[in-house]
Amino acid sequence: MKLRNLNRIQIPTWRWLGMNEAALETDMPLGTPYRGGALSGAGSVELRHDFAPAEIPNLPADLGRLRDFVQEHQNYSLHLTIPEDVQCEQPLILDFLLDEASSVLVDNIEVHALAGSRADVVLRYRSAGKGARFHGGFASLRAEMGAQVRLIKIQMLDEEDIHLDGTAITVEAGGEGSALCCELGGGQVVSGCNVLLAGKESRGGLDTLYLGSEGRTQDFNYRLELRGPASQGEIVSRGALSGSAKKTLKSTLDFIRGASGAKGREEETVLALSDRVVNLSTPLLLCGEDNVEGAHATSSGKPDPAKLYYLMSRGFTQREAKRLLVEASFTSIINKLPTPDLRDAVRQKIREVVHGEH
Amino acid sequence: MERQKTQVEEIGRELYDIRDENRPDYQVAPGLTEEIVREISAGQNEPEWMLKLRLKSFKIFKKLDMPAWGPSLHELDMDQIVTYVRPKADMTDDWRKLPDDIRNTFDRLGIPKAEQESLSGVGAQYDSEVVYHNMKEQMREQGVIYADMQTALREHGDLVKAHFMKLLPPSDHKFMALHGAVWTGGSFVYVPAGVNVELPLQSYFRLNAPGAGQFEHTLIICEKGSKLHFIEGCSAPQYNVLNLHAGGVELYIREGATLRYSTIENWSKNMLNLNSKRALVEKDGAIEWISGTFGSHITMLYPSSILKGEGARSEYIGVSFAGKNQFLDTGCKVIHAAPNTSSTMSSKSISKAGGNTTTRTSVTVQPQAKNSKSSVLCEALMLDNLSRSDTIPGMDIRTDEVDIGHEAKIGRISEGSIYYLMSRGLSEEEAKAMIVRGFVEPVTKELPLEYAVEMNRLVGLELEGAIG
Amino acid sequence: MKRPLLCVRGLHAALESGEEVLRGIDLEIEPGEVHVIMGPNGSGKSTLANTIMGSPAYEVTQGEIAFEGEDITAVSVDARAKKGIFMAFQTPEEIDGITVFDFLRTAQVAAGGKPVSFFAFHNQIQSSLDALQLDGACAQRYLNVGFSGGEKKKSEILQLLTLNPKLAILDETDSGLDVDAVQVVTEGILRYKNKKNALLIISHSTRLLDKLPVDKVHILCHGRFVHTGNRGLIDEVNTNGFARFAPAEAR
Repeated sequence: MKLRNLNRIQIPTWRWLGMNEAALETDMPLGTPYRGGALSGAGSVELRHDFAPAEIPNLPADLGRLRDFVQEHQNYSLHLTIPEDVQCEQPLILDFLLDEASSVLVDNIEVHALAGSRADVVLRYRSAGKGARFHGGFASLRAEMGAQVRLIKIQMLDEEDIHLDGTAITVEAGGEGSALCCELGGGQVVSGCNVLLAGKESRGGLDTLYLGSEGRTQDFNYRLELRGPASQGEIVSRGALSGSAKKTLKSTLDFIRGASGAKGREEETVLALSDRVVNLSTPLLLCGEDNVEGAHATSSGKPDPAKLYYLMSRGFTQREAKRLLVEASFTSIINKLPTPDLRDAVRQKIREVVHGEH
Repeated sequence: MERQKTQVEEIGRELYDIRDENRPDYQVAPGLTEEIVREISAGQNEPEWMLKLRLKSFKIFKKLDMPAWGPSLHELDMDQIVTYVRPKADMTDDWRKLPDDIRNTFDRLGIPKAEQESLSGVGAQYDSEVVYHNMKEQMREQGVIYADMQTALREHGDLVKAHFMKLLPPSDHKFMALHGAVWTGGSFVYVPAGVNVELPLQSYFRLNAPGAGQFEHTLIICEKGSKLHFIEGCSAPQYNVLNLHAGGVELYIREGATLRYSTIENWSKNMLNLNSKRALVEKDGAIEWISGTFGSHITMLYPSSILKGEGARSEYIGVSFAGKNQFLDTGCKVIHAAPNTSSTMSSKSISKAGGNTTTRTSVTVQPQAKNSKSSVLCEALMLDNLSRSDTIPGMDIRTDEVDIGHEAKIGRISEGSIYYLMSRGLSEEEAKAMIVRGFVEPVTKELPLEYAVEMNRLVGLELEGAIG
Repeated sequence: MKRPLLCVRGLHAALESGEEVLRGIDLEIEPGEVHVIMGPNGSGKSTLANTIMGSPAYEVTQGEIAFEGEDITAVSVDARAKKGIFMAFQTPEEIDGITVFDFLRTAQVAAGGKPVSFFAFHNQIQSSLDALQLDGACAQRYLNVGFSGGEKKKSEILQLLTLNPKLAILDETDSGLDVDAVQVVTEGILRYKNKKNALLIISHSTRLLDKLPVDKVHILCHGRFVHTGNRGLIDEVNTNGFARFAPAEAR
């Protein structure tokens, strides 16, 4: 099966740049069932496995098609409703494991956070054993008035696996909804996220951290739509690429006419750890409203030699020094993960990938 | 509190809108057919290889699709465009020999005066032909060649053939192919090794005939260690029908040479401006693009630099100002194909009254371009919420030893700045105009004084008048 | 009897949010006078200065401001500047792309001066530049862009000397300056001062105020003048702080 027109850039540009869209090919048996999906920390959250798909306003067409694909082939689905004013002290963690028995996961997750609620919802995807896996997923989050919810996706699949993923977040007035994605594995990764700040003074954003290594390809399409007056948000992405990794990152800040007083920021930092990496970026800044503040900044290069030297002069090997600098650039995002276990797991995976340590 | 809006007057166009009656000596039928291409070629008295190139380009033009990105070109109907209009004027090197109306047009635009006071040479094109071409004797003595393309084909055929449309292959895109098929006019410049052309050379393109196209070709070769500043100016009066401009600029910059290419475009609002400009820069050479885009209904313009030799450098400073019914899609492309190359881009765009500006850039760093640096800054000023401003940058980096930075900002004039200037007695209008002038200053400051003045006038500011 | 230059009566002003900052200010400044306003942080000193200047960030909810007998409460900022009111800001804006020189030349005309030639203006400001120990290159830099704190304050005084207003409001002009800079700025202010114009200075620094002839000192607390006196107050506040004046407001 060939999947085309994935991760379409909002405004197409020169075709030769090769960033307008992505494609994936897979012959994985999509009908197989998935056995698993442990959920912890549910507490007072309402859960349903059968549900009619929620309306997602202004969903970009490519994510809409991905959602249709997921709904058609889903073998796991869950709808979480966080009741009004409920403050979830513990994060809700959905752990998925793909192994020889369950090699295909197509998950359809919806989170509905009612007014004034607060929660962190974590979706973790891991892979074990030999063979290739397929993960196709779509998660949506709706944060009602004054709700504060984060959707955290941690992907730690293996080098032969495919990860095709979409996220759509809608934030109402005074709410806060954001996504945090750690893309640490997978051989072919196509991941898109759209955050719509719909209501007045809504806030939100997207933090991503990704690692590319030998021969893997990653295509990211992140979009923040600032529609509500005085809405505020940012897209921050930090990545490290080694070997002959290939990565395409499209990030879009879209200020819609009427979003008076909106503020948006986009920031990308990429560390290149080998001379064979292929590093493509297109940070779009689109604007139809004058009373806004929008900015973006991208910087790419190798770890600062002066800093490497400094660390080595304190006894670290060059390898360790590089790893430290990579981790340092990820620190601010790792620190946003809700539990020490998750933070350690992510740090450990980073170490494994960046320097093959086990 | 009522929301402040930023009001800045649109560029005063009266000067450019004066039309001469269209009394051409000869013009082809509208549309594009093989006959028309042959007709144009025959009228140019050119070598056989050029006709072959035209026909090949025409074939490619028919095959290629319109671009699938950028502003919509649906209003363009090639069947309505007259691709060749010959004015009733033989080329001369004496302004007085030109017919009155043509000479008056260039007089009003200040070209002869500029030539006398501050240029090394001038080429003036009216519709499809160059009507005036001259260069100071001193330049000739140094071996500088500055000729209209037709003459260059005759007198320096081999040199031209070796370079013509090699940087702009017709297969690149539909309007490059169109250009290849129907180009006429334009200039050829050759600067010998080590020569520093102190005063700029200028070509001015005036499109007078309604519904016509202008397809001039500029080819510049700067030999080792030479230096040149070339200025291109263009304008056309306003009509209700569409005019098309699909010119081509090819710049060859050899080892250690520096070329500064400045353009001020103030086409009228019925103009489709789809220009192609490319520079090939050898070792330690440098290209500096200075670009001001104020007119046209639609512009798609991306000066491109290929940094082929080690240490080559590209700089781009551009300003665009889109008002009502304008779609200005401009930017710059750089390819780093050698080590130690550097590029900078600074783009400033202003949108008002429903205008649309898009800044489209690309920086490509190939694996062998070790130790390259690139810094891109795009700033957009929105003067109201009727307009649009989009920034679409692309980066393709294939090595680790690089230092690549990209920054973009968008917003409106800060109220704090307006208050500060008003507290010094400037009216709100004057304060905003001053800030907009300051915003485009990085471009005006790179231009010779007369052009800086024209540019400021083009930005529609009265401030210069107050200073006196 | 001389008509007051500035007459503020019963002035109440609030922020955009509606929060009241000035709660009834009465102030009269005669030509030739130097008034000083002191007060704890947040008392409304900058608000008072900016309200007199006409900043759109504040709304006058009650009272009036008159300049040379004319009610200017509803008059725009630039019109007030043209009438002869000037303010040296605490953190002046950076205006990119316009040189100090060009700006001053334009502002002088905007303030009602006659246009002068490039050279005439160059000579005119040269002595001010020298007095403020600013070199000629400074005039060619973009207005306040990349200026150090001290350079920004001097740049404001350069404007003061060039525009020569009737009333100059100085908002903490001495803050952040080193000893030499304060000296230079003070001399600049003295250069400006004459029998016809007036100064309204927000400061409590003796370094600056010691050298100026001060007529009245007002203490501003929570948006009201709680005390007015002579220059002796400056030393008192610097020794004992504002405690003596605050108690009525403490709730």
